[in-house]
Amino acid sequence: MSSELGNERSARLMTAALDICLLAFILEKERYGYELISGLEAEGIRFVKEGSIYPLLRKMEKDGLIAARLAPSQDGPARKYYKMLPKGKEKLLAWSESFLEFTGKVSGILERRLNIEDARSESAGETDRNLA
Amino acid sequence: MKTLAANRQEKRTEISHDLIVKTVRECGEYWRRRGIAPREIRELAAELEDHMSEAAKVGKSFEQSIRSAREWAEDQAEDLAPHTSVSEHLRVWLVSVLTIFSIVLLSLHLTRSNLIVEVHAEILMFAVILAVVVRVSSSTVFPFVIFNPFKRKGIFDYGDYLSVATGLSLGVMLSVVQRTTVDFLPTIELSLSHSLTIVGIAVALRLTPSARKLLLRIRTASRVRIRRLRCLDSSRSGGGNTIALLKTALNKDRTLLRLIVASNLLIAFGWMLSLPDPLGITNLLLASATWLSLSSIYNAVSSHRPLT
Repeated sequence: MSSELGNERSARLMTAALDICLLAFILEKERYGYELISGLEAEGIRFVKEGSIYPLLRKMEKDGLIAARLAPSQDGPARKYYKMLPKGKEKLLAWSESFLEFTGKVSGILERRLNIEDARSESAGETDRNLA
Repeated sequence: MKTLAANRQEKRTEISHDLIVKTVRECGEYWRRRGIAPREIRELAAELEDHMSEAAKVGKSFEQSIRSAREWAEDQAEDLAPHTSVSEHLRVWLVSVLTIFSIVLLSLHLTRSNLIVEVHAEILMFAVILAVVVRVSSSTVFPFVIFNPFKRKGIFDYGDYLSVATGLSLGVMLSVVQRTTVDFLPTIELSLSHSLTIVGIAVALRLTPSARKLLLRIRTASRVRIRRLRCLDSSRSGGGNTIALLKTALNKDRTLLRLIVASNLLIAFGWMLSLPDPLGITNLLLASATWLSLSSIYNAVSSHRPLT
């Protein structure tokens, strides 16, 4: 149950930060849709809906943050590649700064008030007592 | 008790080439009915095809990759606006109505040398039914028609639904013509059962091993042709290796619908000729409307070209 809740929360947090992550991957080099999914998964991010990145990529393309081009593929259908545009790079920097600032603040609040290891062992002890 | 979500996670359907083709076809059909521009549909289809192919390579299941075809199609269409405006729709209907009445007025002038049209309630009812049939057959009101597990298994096809719709609308038309001599419902039943019989034969043929072998041969031939054309196709706007298979499926639908339309028309005209006043204005009006309805339904099927 707690794992399900954790997954749900992670998914919500991920949705909020997905555009930044996608832009960061595209900043490195030109990439196609599934490559972005694989890249995020390799970083330990699991998707609830893999297809959710495509509308986001289309929106970023429409907003002029990235550009798309269709290129023939060796072993399948034509593939859409996305590359970074100057406006996208600007946005990525601005969003990253505010995101890191925000996560820093949240981390500060948690670190000052909560020792996760202690809280876990305390919680486990309580569960044992309740079971007994 | 297992939850629905848990069951969904456990279900693992292997992604085959055939499944990719069918999924792209279903989603393409959904996007077309949502009124998304053909260029955007081609891009969406290419994206989906590439996504599923890549997921298959890393051993992901259909459920892990796209969850369900319907969910994928709806999610992707969410931020895309329909390219057909209300004024465009109105224009199409206006042209249709004017065409019917032009034919009627011309027939009146030629046969009776007058321009008085008697509009019966039955004719209006027929027009309303016709409009509803055409509208429903080209909309996303019933997603089950598009994302149907029986269709995915190859038991049903697009043409089947439209064939039944044709039978039903023709049945209503014949009922109007015959209202004075025959009961209303039996005529609809006759026409509908006629269409259902043809659909039943088509389904039986699809399920027969020899017919399945023939379909497989067509698919294999298409694949060979696709390999030859892949470089050309993929350098265009995507969906390269799916186009040929979709065309094969489309031709199959069209053959069935042609069969239905031709046989229904024969019955309709045979019936009309047996009437005491074959050139009566009601008959002419209904004949024109029938032609229009059948061609509308046929066009609805012919435009099943999400990737072409």
